Amino acid sequence: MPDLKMKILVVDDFSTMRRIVKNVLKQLGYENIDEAEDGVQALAKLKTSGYGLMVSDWNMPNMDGLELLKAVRRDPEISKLPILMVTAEAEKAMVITAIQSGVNNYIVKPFTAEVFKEKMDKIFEKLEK
Amino acid sequence: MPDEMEEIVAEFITESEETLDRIDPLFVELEIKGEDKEMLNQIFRSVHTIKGAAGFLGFQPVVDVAHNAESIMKKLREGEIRMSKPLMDAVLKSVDMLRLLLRHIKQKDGVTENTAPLLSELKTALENAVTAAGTQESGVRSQEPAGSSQEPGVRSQKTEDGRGISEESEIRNPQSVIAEPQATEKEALQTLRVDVNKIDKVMDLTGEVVLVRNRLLNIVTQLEHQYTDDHDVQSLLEAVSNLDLITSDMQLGVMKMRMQPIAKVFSKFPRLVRDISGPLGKLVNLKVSGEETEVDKSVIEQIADSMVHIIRNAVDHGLETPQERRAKGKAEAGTISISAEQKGNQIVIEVSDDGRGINLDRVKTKALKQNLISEEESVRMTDDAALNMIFLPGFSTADVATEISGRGVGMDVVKTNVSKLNGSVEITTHKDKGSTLTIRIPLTLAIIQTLMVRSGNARYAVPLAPVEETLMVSKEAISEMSGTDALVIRGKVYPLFRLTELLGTSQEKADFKYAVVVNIADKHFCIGVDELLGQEEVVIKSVAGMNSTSSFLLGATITGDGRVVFILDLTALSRVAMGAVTV
Repeated sequence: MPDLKMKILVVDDFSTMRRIVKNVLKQLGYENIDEAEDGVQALAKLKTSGYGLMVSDWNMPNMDGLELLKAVRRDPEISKLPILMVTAEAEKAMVITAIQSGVNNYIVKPFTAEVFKEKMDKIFEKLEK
Repeated sequence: MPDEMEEIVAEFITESEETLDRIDPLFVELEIKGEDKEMLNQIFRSVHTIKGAAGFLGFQPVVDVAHNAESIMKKLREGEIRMSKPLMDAVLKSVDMLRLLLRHIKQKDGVTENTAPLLSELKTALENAVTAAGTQESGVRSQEPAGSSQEPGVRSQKTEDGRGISEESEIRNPQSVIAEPQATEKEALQTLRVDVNKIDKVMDLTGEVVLVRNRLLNIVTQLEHQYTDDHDVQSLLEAVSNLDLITSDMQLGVMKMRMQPIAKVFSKFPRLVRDISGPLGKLVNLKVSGEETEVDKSVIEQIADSMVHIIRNAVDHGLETPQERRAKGKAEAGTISISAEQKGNQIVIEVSDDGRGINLDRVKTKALKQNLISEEESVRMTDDAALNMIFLPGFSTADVATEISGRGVGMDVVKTNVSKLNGSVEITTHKDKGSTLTIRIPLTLAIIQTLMVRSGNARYAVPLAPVEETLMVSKEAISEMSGTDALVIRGKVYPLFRLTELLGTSQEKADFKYAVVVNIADKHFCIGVDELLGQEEVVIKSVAGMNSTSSFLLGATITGDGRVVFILDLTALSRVAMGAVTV
């Protein structure tokens, strides 16, 4: 079971989306949530403190989700970070690329708190193995 | 948590509206420049983002419209189909529909829009779109990184309950996704989203601090007179002087918080001009400058509609058709220039066109027909006065009110709206050369510098900005000019009115000692008062139940000595003053 106190980073350039995701996380009991507007900001934050999970959108300016994913996996300090990708229905093809690049799981929007919990549990189950 | 949801929805609406505002000008640019991957991508992403959030919040109509528009944008950006007017029109219509849907959500009016015709238009436009497949035309192919394969041709869309799902995306090689341009460096500008009401509250409080500071200054000055050598009084004086400086800085700081670039208003104009000029058969070249000029948020809100109206007029009435222009030896496309500039403590906005100018004879004829003036007046009036008649309520020179403008609800509303901002609007015109409309708005809305005066038993605050000078006046210096008193100052004649006369508080032609020379929109006149009481910075407080235009007052204030004093509305007074003058 993922630790409810863990620090989570939510990345999306639309602040309403960040808020919605944050809301879902809060519903599941997570309180320690931080935000970033794009891949560049996200990387900067990830390097400075310990995050337990990153939930990131795909489509963002400056550095998109895929780039961010690759950058994290390349960096030895943070390469093991669990990452959940948020995608839209029509972007399923990109999921293959994301998995190849090392994403832990993906979730299609719009999603409910239940679906989100399932995805999170799956990520952390696998990690524990 | 229903409150939380309300806030999220409110944020969603604001952000979505801003996003749509940002992409509006892009459509017009695309039509001029042709295909631009970057712009197409931006439009795609904006619609995609709105769709995403709307999905979460359960706004299905928004999702449907956005989804269909997004599909078109996606194919355009990837070069699979070519841009065309019906395609762009359909997408533009979706943007408008999205705005409308968002408005309904915001207003909670429960109105549902019938999106079916739009959705089918979008689908049809997509199906009929010319594909890039098989054609060897360059420039249409997207610039993919080498090594990517692209599926030629467009599969017809599967449609289920209005959701178009493209099969393309599932087969396409992922590498053909266009990477976000990385050249654009995000500016280090850090911003905060703050509820406007919170800022207004702080502004109010700042105003109150200004009033209290004034009182302290007043008291301290008196103490200083009485106890000049007292050490404590000196310290108090020092502290209050400090407070004075800090308060001024705070005022400025808070005022700046509410200021935004006027680009917010100007960005809608390219689209507006495009939409109006088409059906009217006019070719318009739009020039916009000074959009970075910052103005108070309330100015942005109030001025948008007026400017739209002015621009409509310019395109509809001001500019001639291409044939007419050719016949006159002008370029076929008319030019409309919009500019904003800060001049001193005013914002000056200009809209000018190089069209046919305003026909003063037609204006006079119309005014006569509507019984706004008499035959005699129409003959005697100056060109300037005739021109300003367009600002009269109900005035319109279009014989048949076109759908776009000329329904007689025009320029007078503009003038009223600008007056509400304590500003002024004026117009100049030249036959066949065009017309220019100038709007002037003071920078600070709630706090102004004033000149305190006494007239009879009452004290008034006169806004200082329009005051050019003050003079002591002896009875002999007053001359008469066609029934009105006047003063000759350095060779120029200025009409002169007693304040009591202007305000209608007294009919007596009492003596007065001082004249305050005022300049409103380049019209000068003098106000006679009994005493000049010095300058004071004042917070304009509105008085419940008071209507500015009929009372000649901007509001009231509490002065340094704790009394309530009315603030004069010089623009309103100038109308009375100038109305009384016939040349």
